[in-house]
Amino acid sequence: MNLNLQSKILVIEDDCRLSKTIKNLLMHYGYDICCAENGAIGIQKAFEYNPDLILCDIHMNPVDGYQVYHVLKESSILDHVPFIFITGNSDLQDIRFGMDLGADDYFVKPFDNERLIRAVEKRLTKYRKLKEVGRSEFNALFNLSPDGIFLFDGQVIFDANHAFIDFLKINKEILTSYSLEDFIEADSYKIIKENISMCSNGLLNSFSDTVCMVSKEGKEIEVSLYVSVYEKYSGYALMIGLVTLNSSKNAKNDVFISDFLKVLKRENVKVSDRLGEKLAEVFTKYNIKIDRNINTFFSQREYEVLCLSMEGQPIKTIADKLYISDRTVEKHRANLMEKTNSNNMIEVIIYALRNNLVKM
Amino acid sequence: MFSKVFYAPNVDANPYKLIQRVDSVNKVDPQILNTISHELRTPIAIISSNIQLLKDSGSQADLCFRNECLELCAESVESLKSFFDSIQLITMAAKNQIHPSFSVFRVKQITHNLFVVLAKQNLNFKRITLDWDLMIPKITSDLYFLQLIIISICSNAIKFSRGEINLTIQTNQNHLVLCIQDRGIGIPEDEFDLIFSPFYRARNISRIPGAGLGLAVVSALTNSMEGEIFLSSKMGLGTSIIIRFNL
Repeated sequence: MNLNLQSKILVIEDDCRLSKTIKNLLMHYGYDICCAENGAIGIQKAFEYNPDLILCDIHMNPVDGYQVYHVLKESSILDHVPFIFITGNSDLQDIRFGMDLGADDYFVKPFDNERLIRAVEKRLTKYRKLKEVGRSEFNALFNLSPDGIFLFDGQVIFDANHAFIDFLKINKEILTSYSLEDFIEADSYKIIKENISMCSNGLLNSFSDTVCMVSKEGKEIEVSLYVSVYEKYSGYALMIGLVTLNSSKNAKNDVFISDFLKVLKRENVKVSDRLGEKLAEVFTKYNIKIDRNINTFFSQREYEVLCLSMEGQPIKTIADKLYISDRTVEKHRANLMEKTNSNNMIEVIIYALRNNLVKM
Repeated sequence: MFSKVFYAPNVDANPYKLIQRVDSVNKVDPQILNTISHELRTPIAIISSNIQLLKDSGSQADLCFRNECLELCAESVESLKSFFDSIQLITMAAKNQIHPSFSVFRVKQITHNLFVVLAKQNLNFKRITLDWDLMIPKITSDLYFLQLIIISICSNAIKFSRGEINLTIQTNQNHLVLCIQDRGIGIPEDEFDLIFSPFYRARNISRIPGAGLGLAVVSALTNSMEGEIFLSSKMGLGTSIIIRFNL
């Protein structure tokens, strides 16, 4: 599969005029942009929007740029997403601090448009290469699959594999001139129409149904259609569809589908809006009360480490505050993750909020 | 060929004079310079970036896009202008050069443009509840100064608090009293006097952007009208400011 997907950039900046300016600039160069007006919302959007690169201001409230960096670093997001600071501070010490943290680049306002774009492009190229490696498995499945797989935005079909094209007897050259509706029998389409629009609005992640497809020659075939959101953009979503013949449905096929879904599901922590708000609320209150009576699920030290982590504090600061070593902090974090069956601290925080283990 | 030889002039002789080490820069609080630079950089970044963008897109840009760029520039110029206006006002006040011009007006006119101005600054004015308690509906004072004072105090209240804000305006035979109460982060008690000096920012708001000019303007204007400012604040609970003018 060779599709030139638009790169997605998350802009976290509290001055709405500057964020609008940066948005215009990046859109001019063909990027998809999502804006967040403070660090708390920025963290939430980083999980929701799944950006390819993050541009972040430093002076913000609630939750400043450094804290955003620390929190995202805790999650798996910054393992692969480049992070660039944009700040009004020209203080050399400040710049060094930002770079020491591990940010990929650092821009001082006012910045040169061309240099900013070049830096963004350079980081993205690096990131794309990493992403390509991860996609090879997906590509193999896409090309070799006996079932039809296609990529569409709710209507227009952007790409499809051989199985899908052979199945519907269409010409690959003019694929993008087709919309999914052209291949599905009218009554069937009515049933799934609602679900498709919910997926493209980000209200639904996936659905499956039995539909009646019509090939280019007018042959009607009953198939199982599975649709899942592939990549979310601001304003629309790319979806991936999987078509299997109902007659050939057997255990082996189910295994294939579940394999396919596993590949589709990239590591992704889902944060709902409400939970995001709650997270944002947590970050704004700097005193988080620990209620030992609620639960004895975590030890006291683990609680303390958890609460400081929720404030976006780096490991070193937590260690200093609790008068313990960095390694002990890491050990407590590991325990927290193990107890809550989480992959990272963000998931631990979400778990604690969900189960009311932390009282605000 | 001849090679010319230049002799270095003798620095110990006249007319050379040793320049004393310039330490006037060191006398300026670096924190203030930092605040000013930070405050100016954002609007300049907006203007510079939009101009580059307009230049690059040339004539192909559609009208709507061009207008948005220009609008962003204009708004940033406006915010730079108001920054320098505040500085000018404070400097003039320091030299006793500002004088109120009195006129007779209805007290309710004080908040006439309040919400429009706050909305322009992207501040959520809906959190303000306004209460009137007027024994005399018309007063003699400087309407423009009073409007500036109210705008400045209210924008602070919105910036540094989350919940409801009460704005009360009272008149009796002798006084006009403005009272603003918020449930915000509060002001440290040992900094009560300091926060009215230009560019000073209380230590608990370093994370919130701002230049530290609002209260300096308020105190300059209030002093010029011979008003008094009363402050009460509890950290984490809220702040209330009362400004009283003789009528």
